[in-house]
Amino acid sequence: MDSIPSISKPINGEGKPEFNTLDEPIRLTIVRDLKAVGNKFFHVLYPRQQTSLLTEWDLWGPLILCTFMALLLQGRSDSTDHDGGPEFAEVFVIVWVGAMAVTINTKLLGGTISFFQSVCVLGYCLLPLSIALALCRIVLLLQQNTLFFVLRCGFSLTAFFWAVWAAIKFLGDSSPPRRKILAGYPIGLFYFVIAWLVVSLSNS
Amino acid sequence: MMPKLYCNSKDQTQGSTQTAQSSQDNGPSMLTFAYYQRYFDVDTPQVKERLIWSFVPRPSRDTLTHYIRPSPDLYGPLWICVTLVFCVAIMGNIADYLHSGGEGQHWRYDFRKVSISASTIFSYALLLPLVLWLLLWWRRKEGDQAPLGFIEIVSLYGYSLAIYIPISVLLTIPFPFIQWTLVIVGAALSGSVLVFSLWPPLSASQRGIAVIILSAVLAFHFLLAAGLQLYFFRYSNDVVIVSNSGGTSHGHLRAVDSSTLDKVTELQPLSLIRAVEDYSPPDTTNAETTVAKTTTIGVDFPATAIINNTKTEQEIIKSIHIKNTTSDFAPNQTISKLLTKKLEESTTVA
Repeated sequence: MDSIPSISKPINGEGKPEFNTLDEPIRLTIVRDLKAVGNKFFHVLYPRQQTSLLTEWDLWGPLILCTFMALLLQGRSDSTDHDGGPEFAEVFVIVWVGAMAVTINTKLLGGTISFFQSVCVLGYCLLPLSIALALCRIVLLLQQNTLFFVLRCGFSLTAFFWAVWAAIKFLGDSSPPRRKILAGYPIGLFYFVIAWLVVSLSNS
Repeated sequence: MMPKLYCNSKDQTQGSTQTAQSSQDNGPSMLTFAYYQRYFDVDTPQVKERLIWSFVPRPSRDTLTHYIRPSPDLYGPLWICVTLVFCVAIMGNIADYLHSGGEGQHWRYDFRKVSISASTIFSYALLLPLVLWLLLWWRRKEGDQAPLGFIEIVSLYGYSLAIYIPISVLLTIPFPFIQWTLVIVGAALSGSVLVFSLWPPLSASQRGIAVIILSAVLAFHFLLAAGLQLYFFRYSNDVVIVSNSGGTSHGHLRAVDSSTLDKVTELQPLSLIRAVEDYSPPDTTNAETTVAKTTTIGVDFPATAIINNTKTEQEIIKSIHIKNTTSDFAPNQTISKLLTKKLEESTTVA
């Protein structure tokens, strides 16, 4: 009897969700969700074990990252002629439609991952690119020359490789064995386009 | 997994050749996921093979029959087109940046370029196969061999665009001779693969019409390559100042930068306006910005100058070619120096 896990007892803490969370204070809910998001960020930065991002997916992290990047990337709207930077909504479209397209591609190739799990992983792996974007923004505050441009390129490139590596690590097992490159290429293209957006950020 | 069937996508007329499908005559319906999964049923070695044979023409074993026909896929065409769209847009921006002398951070992501390149490439990859398929279907009167499926033609066209991706990277080299060589070589290689693949089904009946159709296919292929090169990678940095001979004593200087009609480097006309404004005497200058990228600036010329003298007008047009840079200082000095010189000359000539 001791070996059978008791299912009638409510399980507290991490793991199984409680279903009477309406009674708890909001602070507790928010802190728990923030901890989950922070935990996933940590796993993106140091991808070791693969399970936590996939099994308990959530889309808060991707939303936060996407909003942050869209805020920093948008071009100036006060000038009458088109500044050239993407609008706020355009960044959203690129990120979410791109993640959806990559996910649908993986599923069409015979992948065994669910739709939202894949979108979750792709969104969370934007974290290195967000960090690079913030660093580029700081670098742009200084007077520009070729060295700083190379530095920005370096940030962006490092973030691109990091993001692709993390995403492949999480999503790699879910595609069929002889199609790993076919499933991985659109991921690389997706992060490449976003890295390009980061590099082409300018002060004008 | 789906068994590999030696059939094409025209399920309506080929229902008898399907063996392991369900009792429905179409297999899985178009609304289910499994219908589209059938067209992504390729492995990495197969895709690599199809990519290589998409631009290496081999008359004896054409790409369509030997590499694509067993299982036509949409993975290749889709991701090749998406890659080409972004590649062309990004390389166009890079070429723009290099062309402007590598100055500063005026290097932007141009969404308009992406949407233009996307519409061009996707319509080429979808509309031309549709037209070809309709042509073949219409001409299929006698009971000749199995006609080409739509997905097969889309597949063939999609893979044939693959060579344009490295070509678009190389097109950033700013020498027109190299650009045209690349365009011609690339279009010739992949166009010949197209021709060799399409020749057997087309030439079954009338050869004359087949030759016409195939030369149209080749022509469109060249047109796409040339169009991409001209639109995204051709820079004419001439500023043509045209004077309007209206017969009045007011001349109008209109600075038209033809290159900015295609690109989004709007810094150029703005700095140009500022430069001409700086030059012109303040009481006779009114600068107004009209439609998108042309600016009309009215300047009072002395009546003896350019207005009715077309020869001088030609001289002025020919002689004022200002190299556009995007920095803030060079255009001012260059333009105002040149303008001073030319307007002085014009007053003495007439």
